[in-house]
Amino acid sequence: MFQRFGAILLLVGVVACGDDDDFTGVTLDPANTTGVKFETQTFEVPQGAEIQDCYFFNMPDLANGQDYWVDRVRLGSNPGSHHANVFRVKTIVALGTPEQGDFVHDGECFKSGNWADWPLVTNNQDSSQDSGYFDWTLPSGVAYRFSPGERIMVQTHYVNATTQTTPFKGKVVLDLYRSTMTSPIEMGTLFATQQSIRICRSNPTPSYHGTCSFSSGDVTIAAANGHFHSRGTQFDIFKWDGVSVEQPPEGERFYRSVKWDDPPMTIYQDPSSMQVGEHGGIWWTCDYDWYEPLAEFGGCAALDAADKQQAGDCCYTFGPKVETSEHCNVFLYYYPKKDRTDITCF
Amino acid sequence: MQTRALIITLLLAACGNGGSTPADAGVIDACNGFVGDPTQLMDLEVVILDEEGNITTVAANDPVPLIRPPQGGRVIFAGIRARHINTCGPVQIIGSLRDGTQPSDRIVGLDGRPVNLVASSDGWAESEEPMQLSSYTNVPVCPNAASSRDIYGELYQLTLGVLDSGNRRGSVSVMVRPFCAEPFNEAACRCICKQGYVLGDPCPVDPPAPDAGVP
Repeated sequence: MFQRFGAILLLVGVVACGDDDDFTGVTLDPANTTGVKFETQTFEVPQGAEIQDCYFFNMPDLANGQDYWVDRVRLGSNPGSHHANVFRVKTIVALGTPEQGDFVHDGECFKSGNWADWPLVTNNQDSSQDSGYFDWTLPSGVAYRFSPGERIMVQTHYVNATTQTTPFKGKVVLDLYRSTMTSPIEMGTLFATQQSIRICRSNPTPSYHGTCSFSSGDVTIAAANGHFHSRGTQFDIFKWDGVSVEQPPEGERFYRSVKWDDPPMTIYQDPSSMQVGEHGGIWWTCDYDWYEPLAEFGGCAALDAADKQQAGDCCYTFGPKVETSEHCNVFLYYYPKKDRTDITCF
Repeated sequence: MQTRALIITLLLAACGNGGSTPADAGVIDACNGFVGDPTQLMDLEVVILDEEGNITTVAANDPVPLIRPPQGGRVIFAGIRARHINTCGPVQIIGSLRDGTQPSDRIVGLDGRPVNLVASSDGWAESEEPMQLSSYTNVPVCPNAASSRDIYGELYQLTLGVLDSGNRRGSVSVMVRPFCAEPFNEAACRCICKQGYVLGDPCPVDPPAPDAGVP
């Protein structure tokens, strides 16, 4: 009995103190012997901190200079991760410059305008201690296409504050598994963001809507997840016909998240129910419920100071900081990719 | 008389939209916040916020400015004036731009959001905070893969749909001709708003707006 009690105490102590002696953290998959591997270092996330880091690497040459295919992704994050996103680097604004090298801590890594045209590859919002991995074998016959030398950014965001905590240390691993298929269907991605949002004291329960079209249509949605912060109460995504100006009926809804800090990544097993017709797209809705900002983050005075519109209404506006700003972002995966690039709507 | 005025003031304040209401505001039914005649259908006008912060009512075939918002790309800031509408509580508005006039024609961009309206001196309800970008639908139109034409210089159908707190609905559509309105970034605007542009294609540098103009 005493030994059992002692074990419980030890467990409580580990969780409460953030001691990671018994925590192994996420690791790369040793079975991935032919694909691509990337891992961050293990890093501290101090109490009260939000850390966003951008790591860069080039895709290796795995096919004698030719493009190659990846049909399984495994993106793992130590608990406490707010998000881990992977993008293909395109236009360089102020992030990913040669002078910055392969690593940028905070600063430009927090400014979304720096990667506005960078297509999404994959993302993971799993912050639980139970899992930590988004491990996805793509639908049969579907794969991502990569080019040798293609620049990739892995972005990690850890929070150890009030609304989210990091009990151990931060770390992210990425395994991309090379496909043996010679001519698979190409996986495409869609990233949509509603940035002109305000969640204010005078209008505390707003809903924001946006739409995003697949330019060619006739695609199948394979997976989706939504992202907002702690004022977010409900995140819905619907199939949309591309011509209606009313919210689609409930029967068209294919995604819902009501848990902002651990939203589901929904993978759709039945492709027949996830097809979007020609000229179609998605309609998404973010619902919020304003609450008083915490004094330790400056309260309303801090929000008012950061409000570019200087409304003095204690408004949470679009931004990356979990404690003091909000998001309304869609991450979606579909096939076939028909266009020259993936889809971004903002 | 003084007591009555005080009561009206308190009722307006409770609505959350009475602070700047002029004394000769339209018909306001206490905290029902009704502006106009509840027996009438909702009456709507489309208003546009331009690059210099001016607010204008849109008429058929008017040019409307394409503006670079903080989130990037180009949007049309489209809002409403309304009467016969319940303004007690936010009004949900959806702004959209259609490539054509038929219901089967594609939507180029759509944005939905809540706005607070207050009665104006002419009996219509207007945005409580007319200089705030969030008081207008930020209809995102560039870049765009849905349109069969350039966004600028062509006629499109701009529609504002409204749902008030009394579940009354209204809608107004007007044909408009978007144009690149900000001289300092016109070249970038004409590049990303051109038909066939794909995000990431080379375009002139798109500088952020200077401090002047739209807040």
